[in-house]
Amino acid sequence: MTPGLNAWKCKSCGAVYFPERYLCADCGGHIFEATIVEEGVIEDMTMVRHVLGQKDWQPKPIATVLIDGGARILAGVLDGSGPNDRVSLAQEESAPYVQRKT
Amino acid sequence: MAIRPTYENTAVIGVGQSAYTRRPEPGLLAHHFIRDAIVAALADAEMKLNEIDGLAISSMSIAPDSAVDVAWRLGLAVRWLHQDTNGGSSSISAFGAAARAIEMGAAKNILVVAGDATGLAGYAKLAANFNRAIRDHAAALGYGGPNTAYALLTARQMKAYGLEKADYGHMAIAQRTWAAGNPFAVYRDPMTMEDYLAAPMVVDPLCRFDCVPVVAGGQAIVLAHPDRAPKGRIPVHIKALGYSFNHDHQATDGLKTGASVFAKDLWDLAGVGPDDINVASIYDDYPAMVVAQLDDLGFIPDHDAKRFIHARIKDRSFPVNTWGGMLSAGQPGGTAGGLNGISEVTLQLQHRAGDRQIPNARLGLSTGYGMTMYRYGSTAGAAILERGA
Repeated sequence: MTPGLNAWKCKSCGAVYFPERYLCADCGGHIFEATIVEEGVIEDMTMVRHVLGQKDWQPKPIATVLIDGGARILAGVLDGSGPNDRVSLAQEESAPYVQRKT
Repeated sequence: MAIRPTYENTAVIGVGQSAYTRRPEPGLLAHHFIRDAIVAALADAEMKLNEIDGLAISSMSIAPDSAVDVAWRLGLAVRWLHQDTNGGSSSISAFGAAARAIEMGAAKNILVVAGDATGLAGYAKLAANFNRAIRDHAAALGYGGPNTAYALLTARQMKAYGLEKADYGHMAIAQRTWAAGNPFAVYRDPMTMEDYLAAPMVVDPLCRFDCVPVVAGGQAIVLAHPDRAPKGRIPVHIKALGYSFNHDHQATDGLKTGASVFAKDLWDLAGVGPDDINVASIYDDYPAMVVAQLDDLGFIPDHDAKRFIHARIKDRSFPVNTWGGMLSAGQPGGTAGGLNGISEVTLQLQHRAGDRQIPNARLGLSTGYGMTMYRYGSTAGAAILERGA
């Protein structure tokens, strides 16, 4: 797991996106630069208790996180963080995770 | 000057569906279920296969085939062909495209079909690889399919509208009561609030009865000139259509669907309002999305969803999803769900809905919603339909 979330920032207007976009919905710009977003706030969360076709499933917490810069993402929750908590972002391969900011 | 489209040369003249089943026999493909639906729809329309000159298809499980492959396998030679793969509003989009094709002279008699037969394991695989966003950024989290997206959305809706779990229960129970009158529904036994509240949680706060059951099945309708309707059959006319795609770029809380974008134009084009609607099919992959679409379309006075559920849905005085909806009848992959809603409104407006018939139904509405490309659905469509003379 690496700290921070690899996101994309529109070079024209600064809008932050995740997942990647190829034209900016805000200004129409087409040049994006990689940006690492380190923090966000959990807006709401759930516990995935059952998944079709999985027999030995362990419940997994997933949250909607408003990341700094403005985009809303889905993220796995690594600790007991909950709504309104400010969290640090990390990612494993291309999947985002959060935990309470220390 | 804005164009006001009319659909004077187009009507729904026949509907048909296959059996719906939770567990299709090995070897049965979406093609088989679509075939069964077409056979039923052509019989209903009193039309021969070689009279069809247009085909629109929506499916998530015909791959690696495309629409023309399905036409080939079904013995259809057509001069207009359309395929829509954009989730739960695919069928209502295909329906609109077919109507426009007839009005423009591209075809005379069009089959609009939808169907899926993923099986439960196939659906799980589909859900984890739904698009690049889900495959690359959500599947590894334990996302497990759209249940997770709509659990998060339902939690937001409960907070925003002051709704409780039992409020959604009244919606699921009302639809189950309607389903008793639909011989094709996979779940027809009555459900109580005790049953609902005791159901296992799937993804908090969604329990088993909040999550649409995946089935294998197919649906078909025939669109043609109203004069082509079988003798004695009342054609069903299109008064207005509305569509929206990627309405908010997945940037908001998702409590407003794309229907909020086109609702005003839809009612203006139709020259009627929500109070004029006698029967509604609202795309119901989850109860929360029925609430969202009803509110977006102006059915809920003062946006007071709780009062509307208790005053109009619980006692079924507002006839929504009179076939049981997908929550009780089943969801063939999502794409056929929107077409099932159109079929039901057609039967209601033709006064052919049997035990579940709404007396004197004259005006109906059907919606589609879906393509959960990341955090909620990104496509929406609606049709206002009218009983012909």
